[in-house]
Amino acid sequence: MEDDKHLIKRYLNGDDGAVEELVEKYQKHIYAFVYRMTNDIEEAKDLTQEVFIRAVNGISGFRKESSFKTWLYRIAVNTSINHARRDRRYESGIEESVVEDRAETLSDMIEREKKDLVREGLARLPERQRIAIVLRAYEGLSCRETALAMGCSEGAVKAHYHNGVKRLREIVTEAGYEFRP
Amino acid sequence: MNSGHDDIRELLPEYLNGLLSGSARRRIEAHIEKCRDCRDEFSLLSDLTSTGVPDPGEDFWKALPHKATMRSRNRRRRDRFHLKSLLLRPLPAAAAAAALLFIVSFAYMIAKESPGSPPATAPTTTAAIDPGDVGPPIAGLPAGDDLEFELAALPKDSYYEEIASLSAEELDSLYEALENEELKGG
Repeated sequence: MEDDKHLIKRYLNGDDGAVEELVEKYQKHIYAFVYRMTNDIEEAKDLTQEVFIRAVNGISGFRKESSFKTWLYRIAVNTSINHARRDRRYESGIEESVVEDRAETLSDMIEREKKDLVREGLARLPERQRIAIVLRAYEGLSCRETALAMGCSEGAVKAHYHNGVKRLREIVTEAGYEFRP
Repeated sequence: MNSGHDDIRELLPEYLNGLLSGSARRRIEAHIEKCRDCRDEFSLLSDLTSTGVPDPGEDFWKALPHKATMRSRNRRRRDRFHLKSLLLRPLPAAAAAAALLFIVSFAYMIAKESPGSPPATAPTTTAAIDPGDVGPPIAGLPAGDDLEFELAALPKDSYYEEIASLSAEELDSLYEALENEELKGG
C-alpha cells in the first residue's frame, strides 16, 4: 500500500482518489477506537464518519509534525471527547457482549464474566485514563504517538495509563476474580 | 515497584500487539514468567484486548471511503467556485470598483471646496452687505452709510440727549426713582 505522505501529496495535487485510499487504510482502526470509547455501534459509525469528514476538511492544514495516523487519532480523540460532552448517556450504556450460541463450560462463563467486568470497568474510568489505555493497549500506539494524539506530554500519558490499569486490576480483584496464571 | 518492573509494564502494550523485536520480546517473557505482578497486568491487558469490536458490515466499509471522496470533491469544487467568483467574474468586481471610485471622488471634491468657503459663523462688515438687500430708509431718520442714529436730527424738545449723557450710576438712580413713583401711583 502506498505511503501516507505520497497519498497526501497526491490529494493536495488534486487527486481525490488518494482520500479514498487513506480512508480505506485507516477506517477500521478509527472505527475500533471510537467503538471502544462509545460502546455503541451506531454512534461509532457516525463518529467514524465525522472523523474522516473533519480530516478531509483539514487535510490541507496537516503540517506533518506527526504521522498522518497520529493526526487522525487526534481528530478521533477530540471527536470522541466532544461527543461524550454532548451526550453523557453512553457512559452507562454498555452493550452486552456477543454470546455465541453454544454450550459454555463453567470456566468459559467465568472468563466471559470477567472480561465483561473489565470492559465495563474501562467504560467507567475517567476519560483520559480510558483514552490512554485504548490507544496504548488496543491500538498499539507508542507513548509518544499517544501523547501526540491526546495533546499532552508522554509523562501524562504514562500516568493516565498506569492509573487506569491499576484501577482495572482493583475492579477485577474486588469482584473476586483471579487473573489467569 | 522498581524501575525494572516499570520498564516491562510500559512495554506490555507493544508486546501484546507484536511490535517488539526478538530480544525485547524474550526479555519480557522471561520477566513475566517469574514476576506474578507483571504477569497479572499482562493477563488483564490480554482480557481487555481479547474483547472484539462488532463489525458494522461491508456496506459501511464500502460507503465510507466513497463518502469521504465525494466530500473532498465537493469541497474542492466549492473552493474553486470562490476563487472563480473573485478572479473570473469581472462584472460585480467592476461595479464595486466604480462605486468605490465615485465615493472617493465625491469625498475629495467636498474636501477640496471646504477650506475656501467662509464658515457659517464668520463675522461680516457693513461693507460686505449688498445695498440691494437693504430695505428703504426709516422715515425721519438720516440714511448714513454707517447706519448710526444722529442725535442732532432728533426733535429739539426731546430729553433723549440728556438721558444719553447720563452715567451708568445716574441711569440706575433714575430708573429707581421712576420705579418708586410708579409703585406709589405717581
